[in-house]
Amino acid sequence: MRNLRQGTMKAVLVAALLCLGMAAGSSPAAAADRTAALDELIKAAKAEGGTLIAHSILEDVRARQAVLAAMKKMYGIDVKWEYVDFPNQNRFAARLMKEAKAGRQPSTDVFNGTQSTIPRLLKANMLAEVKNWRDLYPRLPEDAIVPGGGAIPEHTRIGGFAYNTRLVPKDKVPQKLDDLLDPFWKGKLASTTYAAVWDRASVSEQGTFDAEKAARIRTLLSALVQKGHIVGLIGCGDENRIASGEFVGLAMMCSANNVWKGAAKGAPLEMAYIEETSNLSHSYMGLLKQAKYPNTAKLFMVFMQTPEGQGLNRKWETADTSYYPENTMYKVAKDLRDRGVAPPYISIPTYMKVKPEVEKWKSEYKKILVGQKK
Amino acid sequence: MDTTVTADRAAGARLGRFLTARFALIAFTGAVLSVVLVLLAVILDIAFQDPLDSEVYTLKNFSDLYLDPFVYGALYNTAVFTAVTVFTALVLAVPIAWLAERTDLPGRSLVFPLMTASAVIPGTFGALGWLFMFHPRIGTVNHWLMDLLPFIDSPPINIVSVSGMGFISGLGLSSLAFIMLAATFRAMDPALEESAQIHGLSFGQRIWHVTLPLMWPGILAAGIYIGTIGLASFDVPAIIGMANRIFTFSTFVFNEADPQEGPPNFSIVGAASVLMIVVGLLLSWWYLKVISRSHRYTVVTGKSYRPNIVPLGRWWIAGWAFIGIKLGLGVVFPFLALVWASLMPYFQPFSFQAMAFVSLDNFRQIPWDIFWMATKNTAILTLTVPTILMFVGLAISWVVIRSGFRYAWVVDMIAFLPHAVPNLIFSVAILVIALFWIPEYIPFYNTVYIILVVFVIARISFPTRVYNNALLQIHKELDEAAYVSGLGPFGVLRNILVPLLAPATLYAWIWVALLSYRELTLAAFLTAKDNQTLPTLVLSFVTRGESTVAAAISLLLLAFMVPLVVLYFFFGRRTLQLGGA
Repeated sequence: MRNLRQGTMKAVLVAALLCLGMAAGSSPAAAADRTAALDELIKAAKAEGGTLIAHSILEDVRARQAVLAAMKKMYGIDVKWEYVDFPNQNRFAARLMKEAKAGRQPSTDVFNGTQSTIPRLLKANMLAEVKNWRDLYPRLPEDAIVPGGGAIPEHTRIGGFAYNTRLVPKDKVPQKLDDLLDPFWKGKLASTTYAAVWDRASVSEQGTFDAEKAARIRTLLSALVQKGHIVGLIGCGDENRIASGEFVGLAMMCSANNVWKGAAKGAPLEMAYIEETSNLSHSYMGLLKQAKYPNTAKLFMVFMQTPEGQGLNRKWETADTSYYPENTMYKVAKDLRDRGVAPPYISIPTYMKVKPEVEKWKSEYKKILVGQKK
Repeated sequence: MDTTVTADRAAGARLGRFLTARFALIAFTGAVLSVVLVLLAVILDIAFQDPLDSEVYTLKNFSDLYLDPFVYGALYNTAVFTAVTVFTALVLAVPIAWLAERTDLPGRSLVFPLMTASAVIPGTFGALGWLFMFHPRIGTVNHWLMDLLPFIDSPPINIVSVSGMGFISGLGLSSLAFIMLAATFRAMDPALEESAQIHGLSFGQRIWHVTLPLMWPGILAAGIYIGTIGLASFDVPAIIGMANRIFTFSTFVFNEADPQEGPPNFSIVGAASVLMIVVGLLLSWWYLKVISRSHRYTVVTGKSYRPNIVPLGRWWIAGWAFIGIKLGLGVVFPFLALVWASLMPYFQPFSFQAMAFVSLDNFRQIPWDIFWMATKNTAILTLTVPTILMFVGLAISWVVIRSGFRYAWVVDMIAFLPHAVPNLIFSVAILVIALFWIPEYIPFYNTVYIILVVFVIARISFPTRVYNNALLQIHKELDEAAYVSGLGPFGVLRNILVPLLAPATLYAWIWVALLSYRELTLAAFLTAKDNQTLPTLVLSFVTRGESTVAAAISLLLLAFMVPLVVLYFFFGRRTLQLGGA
């Protein structure tokens, strides 16, 4: 069994210790990271009045307060956060596109989205062009920046199989997809209406699409539905319904941090990595072209890359990116690679290359899951 | 001769006043309903738009929707679900309305506040509470029954079915049916019942042959109204149905229109709305056919109006037991589920082991700045929407029932249509208008006013159903006597109809206030940074998987409703006494 939590427990502990270390004082990295371009940005943000309009990042109000306190300490700026509470990123992206079409000021300056929405905003030419991210924060790798510079990662997502640890014996935790055909799972599995994770399982890191694998997945999904193994459809945010035992497993969960967040509260949740489907991708912060306070927005996006910002994200959302060695997700990805099971990283450009095939197969999978097709 | 001329002149002046007032009310009604028509036109426009390019018009949305065999399975489920919903709601509401209004049930003034209280508990939590009790795997009641009855080897109750969902939905909507029926029961003239009693009909025969036929238009109106809600119902079918791969028309359409991934496709909702508009028109036609024979159901006349109270004797125990079952299942049970969820770090069924997790941490996670902004917006909506609607509803109902206007049936059909159209599409339509038609310097988009307008339009059918029903039961002879005495239509409205309609007005106001207070779907599509409401804040936490924080906010939402319910309890009773005097 390749179990993420067991495999990375040490890594999480190290990360937690790092958090504690950071809480004791500003990290040396922060001072070293201060560049001339960043100083200019801080000045510009102060001139704007320090108003931040950002959407759905750090959902806990205490986390947002902690971010503002840390930004004051690090940059000497009093930021006021006008939080845009709109957790449905698809609907919000559609709203932003309508606002742009009507020539209105966008409802947010910083948009929080994934591969599902960022490409749509890119295509609609709604994201700002930023060329100096690495001048502002040299640790940010070039390949982390979305083409055009309109978005940078907020946290890394790894998909997999979520399950209830109280209801699944260790020997029944699936290691490969066919394990889900075990009669043990009859009547116990849920999936998502949008075929989360399944849809990208056939995409390689190089941007090729394996149609044969996609067909195999279609056959498997069909069997899981017809045999009555998949009996429910919930969302990736519904991990509570796995924790409550209403469903015993979710095939598949969009991101491990949903599971870890629940587990941190004592919920009997765990995530299993299934090599044939899991992949790495990011949740992004996108800077809108028509942002009202673009400099404060950029400063916030830079802050979220720093060890302090990543630490707060990790503390409150059990989320960080795989780009920095001190981060949990870096260690998770490394641990999986060390065990010889490298999950492919699907970047926005990679995804854009294979989007038509992904959409086509996703539609097939959705129909099977919903019951429109056998 | 002089007397005749004077009488003719007076009659001419009365007619002139009547026609002027009639014209004014028809014009006002027309102006309000034209907003409905504009919104419906935008919806039809959306229905024919290519989802990928709004400049291109196509029939593809209709073919995608109506040529899919899966849709017919969903429509069948919807029909069964709606039938069970209406049946459950009426089976509970009719006896309770009768007990509360026509009997000497001890403590009957408590029934209305208790029935309305169930309306403020979000449907999401009611549904989750039912899952925790009756789910085949995790249902506590199923576990108890299996422990108690050793000969049972599988869970005896399965709420995860179309009829199970219909029962839960009907249980929740029985409060609405009760409110719609209570005023009618109160206004009912006892003369026919008394004469039936004199002629030797038993209690059961009187109920069956006299009371129920007299109540038929009211019951039909409530049934049609509840049925239309059932057709478009989303919360229970989403929580229990969709999660278990049971689709109704609304969940199927919502899933297509507003997916968790990929761009939303509102055109499909537009195409679905066309079917709902047709169904709405048919139901409206049926309803109008019934009220065209309305004189048969007139129950309040100028001659004798004194509601009769039926003594229950020892049957009051059975009466309260019946109400208790409804309240226990529909109020106490979801409320306890809500309290339990608000104290848990993650959602889990009740157990003694879980008591170790009890804490108030969910309340600490509430974003208080957003919470207070949402509270202010919700208060504005709760107070203004019902007040505006009472004026608009009375004007429309007067035109429909009293004006003698040739096209009154058209007015009534247009007023009913917003109820038939899925709420979601109204929000999409008003968003288009706010963004593209109204200039940015007018504070409308992203304010509470956009929600206010759509709430008024979407709920316009409710006060018109209540007032139509109540006006039908006030005999025209009262109006005619007042006209002869020199009052104009506005005078009749102010001095005769408004006082007699006071109980109906209060019922409708309270109910619309509650609906505005808890309305979710409409607001969810319109809120952004500055116009959150409390229910959208709850939804936002549910969407991000923080159901337990959502439960904590819902409890506060419920606490804010207590003053409104208490106000009704004291003020409402007095108004009812005055109205019924």
